[in-house]
Amino acid sequence: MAARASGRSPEVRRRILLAGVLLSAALASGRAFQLGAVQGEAWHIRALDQQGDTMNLEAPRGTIYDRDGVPLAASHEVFSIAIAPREIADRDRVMSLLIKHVRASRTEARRYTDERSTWVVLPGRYGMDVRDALDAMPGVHFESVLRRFYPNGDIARELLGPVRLDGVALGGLELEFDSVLSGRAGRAVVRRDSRGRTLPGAMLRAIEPVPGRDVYLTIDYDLQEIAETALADAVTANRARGGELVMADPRTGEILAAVSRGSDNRARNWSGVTVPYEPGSTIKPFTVAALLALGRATLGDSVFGEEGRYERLALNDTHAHDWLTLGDALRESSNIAVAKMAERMERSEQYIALRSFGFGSPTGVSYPSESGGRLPRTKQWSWSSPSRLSIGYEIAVTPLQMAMAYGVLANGGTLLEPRLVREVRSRDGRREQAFEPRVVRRVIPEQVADQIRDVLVDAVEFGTGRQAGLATFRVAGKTGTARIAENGRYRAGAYTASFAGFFPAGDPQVVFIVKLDEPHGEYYGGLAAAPVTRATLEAALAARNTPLDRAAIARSPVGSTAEVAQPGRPDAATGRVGGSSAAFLGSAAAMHGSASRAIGSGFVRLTAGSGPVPGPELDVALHAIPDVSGMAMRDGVRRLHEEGLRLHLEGHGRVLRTVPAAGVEVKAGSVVRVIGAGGA
Amino acid sequence: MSFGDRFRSLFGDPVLFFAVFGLSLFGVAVVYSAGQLEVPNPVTARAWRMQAIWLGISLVVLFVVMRIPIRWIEWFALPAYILGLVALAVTLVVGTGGGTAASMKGWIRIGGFAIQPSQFANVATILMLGRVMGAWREAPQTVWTLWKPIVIVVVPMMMVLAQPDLGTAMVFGGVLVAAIFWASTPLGVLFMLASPLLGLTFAYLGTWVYSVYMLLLIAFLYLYRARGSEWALILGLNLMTGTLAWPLWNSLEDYQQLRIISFVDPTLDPQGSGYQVRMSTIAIGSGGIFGQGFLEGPQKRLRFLPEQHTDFIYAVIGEETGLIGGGLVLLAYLIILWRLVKLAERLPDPFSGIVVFGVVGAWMTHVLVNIGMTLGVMPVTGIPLPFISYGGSFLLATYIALGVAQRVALEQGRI
Repeated sequence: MAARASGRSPEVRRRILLAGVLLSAALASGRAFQLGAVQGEAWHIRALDQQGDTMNLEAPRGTIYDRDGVPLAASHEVFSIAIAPREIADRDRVMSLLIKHVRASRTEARRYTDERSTWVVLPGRYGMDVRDALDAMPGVHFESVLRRFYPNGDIARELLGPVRLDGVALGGLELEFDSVLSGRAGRAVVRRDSRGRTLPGAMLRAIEPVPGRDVYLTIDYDLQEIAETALADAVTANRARGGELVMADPRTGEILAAVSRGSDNRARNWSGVTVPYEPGSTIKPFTVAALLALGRATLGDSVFGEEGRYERLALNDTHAHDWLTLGDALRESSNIAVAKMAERMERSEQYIALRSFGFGSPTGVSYPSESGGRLPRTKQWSWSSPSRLSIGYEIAVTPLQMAMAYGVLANGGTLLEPRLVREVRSRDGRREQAFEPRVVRRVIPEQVADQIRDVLVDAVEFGTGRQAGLATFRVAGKTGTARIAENGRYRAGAYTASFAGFFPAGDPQVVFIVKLDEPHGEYYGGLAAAPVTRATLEAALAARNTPLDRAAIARSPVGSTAEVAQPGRPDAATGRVGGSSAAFLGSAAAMHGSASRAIGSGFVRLTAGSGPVPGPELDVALHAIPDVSGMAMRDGVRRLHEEGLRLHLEGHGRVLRTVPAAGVEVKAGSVVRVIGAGGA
Repeated sequence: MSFGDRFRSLFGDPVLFFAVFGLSLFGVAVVYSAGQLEVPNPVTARAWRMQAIWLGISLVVLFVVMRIPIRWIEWFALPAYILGLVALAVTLVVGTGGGTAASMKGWIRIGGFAIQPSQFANVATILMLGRVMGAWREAPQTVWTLWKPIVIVVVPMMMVLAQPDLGTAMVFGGVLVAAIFWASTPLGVLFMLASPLLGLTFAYLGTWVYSVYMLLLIAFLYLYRARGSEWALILGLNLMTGTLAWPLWNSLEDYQQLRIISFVDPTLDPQGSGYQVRMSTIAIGSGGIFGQGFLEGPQKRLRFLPEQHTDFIYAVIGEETGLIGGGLVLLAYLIILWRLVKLAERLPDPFSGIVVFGVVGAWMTHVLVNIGMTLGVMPVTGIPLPFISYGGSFLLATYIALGVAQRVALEQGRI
């Protein structure tokens, strides 16, 4: 057996070993060289990639203001606080600061700073003051969160639309003007550790965020608030499922107030542009206007009212008429008479007329998902369509379309594009974009508009819209009551009550539409919807800063046929605004009872505080003056009006007292001085 | 007595001493650096002080060990070995996890200190090997003659594996191979010893590979004129490991399986040990040639490095001192191993030679496996870097081993 001795000498062993060691060392250093020298750059880039985290710097969202700069929706920065107990240098100090500023209890503060945990997120959000107090403490980390908030409460929320917590607009104007409001997010590269935690103060480079721009609406805060209260009251009082109210300036197309009240209060959406309805009688003025403009009829043309039942067109009237003029037909809202007259138009003429007033196509208002309503083409019409369309059936319109169409009658024949936004301003107040009034088209000649206007004034004073009459200023308008169709048939007992018109009739400043869905009880438009208008206009006039031009209202109280005592010295008795206020307010007495009928052609006295309005059916009972001190001027005025009192406003803001004082019994129509801040 | 002689009598071989001590000081600095994080962690931030204290203790122990004659040490080998086994047994019962290796039972807590008995048992095993193999008058000729050293090593090794601490167990293997190799065992016998491991590996790779390997093994045994008993043993062992490969694999802990898998294909387990390797290669690679600067490594500061003050500390060195720092550390290890090999080579005393060479085997395993895994060329096994990684027991154990080697160097001048 040969000895197995392939290397007994230590020398050989050592060499083998050394070779192994050196080989390994060479391998290791080769690999190290490969990593560090050859691929070093690539690994370095990967390292930077891993250490850097691009972070978005949220741009503050722009504010939405009303037309006068009242903020409706604004964003403010709040912070969430996280504590890394192991980074804290001075635990006692951090604890005391937490107790002081975060209002933590001692136990909570101890738990937040307990070294056994590495990262504690505090519940809740904190303001800038808390951040300033705690920012210098090592171990306390802040994360900024931008929150949308509504400085003036829920006013116009359905117009504004919701914004998610992360700043994403979900609807309404927030969505429509998102690109303007949202600004541009900045970017920062921050260092982060393997836990994904970004390290404060280790910012490598940053692109500053560009703050969003501010949007100024055409909405008037006061008018909007008034309208919301009035509509909400009306919906409740009539047990309606919901309602709409739109007020706009017929001269510019600016929407001054827009309210939607649905049965579901959580659904915040301005259904005034998204949900069309069958308008019924409120469309009749346009049928008549088209007849006049086309020269097919005059207001004096007579038509037989068929005694309330007309088999040929399968139409009924609630009030039976025999012969009546076209003007009366509109005033009395006779379906049969209007439908019969409408037959004087070609189908295409009727279609084009309705299109011209803006029905069947979107108004172009800056609001997402606007509906154009529904106006079928003549090809789709049946035998009865012309008659149905003439009285507001087989057509669906949005409340905004209706408001703009009434704007045509109010401003002398021009259809305007409705506007919700006046201008866009940069954060530093520079105007960046202004939205000017835009004429869509001239629809009817001015004299036709004037004729219709006069009839509509009469309609309010004598006709079905009586309750909207404001004794002082003429309101022109038309009521409508339409049955609600559901799945192709009209549902029994379900109605839409609406009232559309403008004010003051002589020189219209506001065009409005009020609509109540399924009011219970008195469902006729005149009885359900009109009082909302009255309440709204009353309060609007009482409010100091609604956009109504009181001087203009005072100048044109009664229109051409006025047989009214023009104010000789409108301001002499009551001062600057008081003149108009007192004059309007004086009408409250007239409104009580049926004074408006008694005043002849329904025009109002602008009596400038010259004593009770003479009237045969004046209320002579004694009324105790209610206590309105502490109320907002507007609410106080409303309350006093309910008692039939005439008012003389002094000062503004909250009511301080009344003269005579609360509790004193006075006759209806007595003048009560309402004194607010700055008043005598 | 010249200054040089006095120095030798105190510190032993000055090159060896300064290389080790220099690396140890550097280690304290790197442990300090590893604790400097962007988001501080008080535990790792204080680690360098513990390491400095342990280094002080280790120096004292070094001097004490160097005062003990070699023969006493040789006599002490058996009680030390038995003590080591007892400590390992106790650890398996009452052991706890330590630091980041929380899942295994490797430490015994005594007072405020956590002792890792496997490190001391390793030194004791080296001494025991020296005592047993030093008694041999001739080189081992057959596989059978090696049963004693194999048993001496495998018993504590299995106990360490049971903790389970694969990394430290591998060091026992390294010690065994080094000692057997140094005892002039024929290379053919070494191959026969290693063949079951090869069989295991090839069986894992596939039936065909294993079959070819078995044919080659038979050819080798024939050409090497193996004895009948060797034939039976080697073929039996290879068949056993070949067929037991899968059951054995299944008996591995999940994380051990993952480590092996991720070594084969790091992309398979990106968040586990593959993640660790990727992070350490990124750190070393981004360190480039000159490094990011001491204390400044961003990967470390942002805690992307795993186990940065213990097993992956070489990545901190690579990131902060670059190729140059990493290379110098590697060079220092080469010098240490070289001095030890030189020392062992000149020793007529078999005990001393085996012990010094066992130390070489242990340290080399540590350095190669640790740096190899950090560089991504070796599987990830929890194994610290000698003199540098944070860990008191390991530092003390290496200094005891160093003391023995230096005492050998000291006595060698007199023999």
